[in-house]
Amino acid sequence: MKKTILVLVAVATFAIASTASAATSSGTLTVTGTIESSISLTVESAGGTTSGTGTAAATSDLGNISKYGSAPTGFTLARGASNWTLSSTVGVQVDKANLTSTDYTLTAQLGSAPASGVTWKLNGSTLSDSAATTLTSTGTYGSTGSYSWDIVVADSAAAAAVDNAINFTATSN
Amino acid sequence: MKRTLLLAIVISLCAGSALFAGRRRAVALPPQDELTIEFVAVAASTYGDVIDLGVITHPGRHDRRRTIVRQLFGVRLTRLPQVSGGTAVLRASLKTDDPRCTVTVDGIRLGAAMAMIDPRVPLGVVTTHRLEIEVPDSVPEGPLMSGIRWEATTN
Repeated sequence: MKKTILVLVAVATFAIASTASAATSSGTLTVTGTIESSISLTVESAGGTTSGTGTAAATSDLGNISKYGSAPTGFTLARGASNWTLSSTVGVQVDKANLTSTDYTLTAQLGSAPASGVTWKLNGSTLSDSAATTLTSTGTYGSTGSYSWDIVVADSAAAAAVDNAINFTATSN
Repeated sequence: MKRTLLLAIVISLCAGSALFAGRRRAVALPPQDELTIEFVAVAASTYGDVIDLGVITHPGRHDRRRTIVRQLFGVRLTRLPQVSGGTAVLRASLKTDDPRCTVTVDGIRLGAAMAMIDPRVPLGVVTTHRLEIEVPDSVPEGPLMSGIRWEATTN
């Protein structure tokens, strides 16, 4: 009799348990967006006491410069008959993202008119504040391009600051 | 003894069946448990069940080869008829996969198979989750769309 009762209890318990079930729900969350291509330019190196390398806004301090003084850090000084030249290099890197372009064009332009008697050159080309000078039209993404940088000062130039800015512009081809 | 036992089982099953049948006739069935899943905006770019990440642009640092966009969103699981307390298992998978990006929720990368997001989500309250979309800088530009399938089951 005891066995019979046990079996009945077991059957009843199983019957009740089998009626309980978990509730389930499903849904869909849609994510949208637009991937936009971009390029970035960074100044990786430059003569002088430079800050901000690795960014798009670097600054080089040449300190006091003179024909018969010593060359600023990272520059060489060449004395000519009627002028003198400070020479260094500027390293510029252009990176691309989500872009199929294989190369780029890099130009440079002075931010303001150079002081009288002072000439700024990149890659041998004289820079001006009125028009951009092309440094390369086949720049390679992801590697630092090195461009020669010369500041030519005439002996006749007045003693004054030579401050200026070189604005680089990269355009994907 | 065996015969007695067998007889008892048969009788009990018949009696039980008759008892439940009687109940079905006499008492209305309680409403079936229903679980709803709802996506709740916790940021301006979330509209119901759509998250628009807008324009995704590489941050411009050349030491990073990918763009990561993060977005918070809320999920509310509601059980009907409403009962206090209770939890549910929350799983997710990619319903439509954009091969140009990877999708993670709360740090769990999603794929075609369901992945456990949270084993015990409290019912009736909004839980916040973090969506992360990673876009390598090598993929071409253009519109992006991924569908995330969610599944919740009460514990």
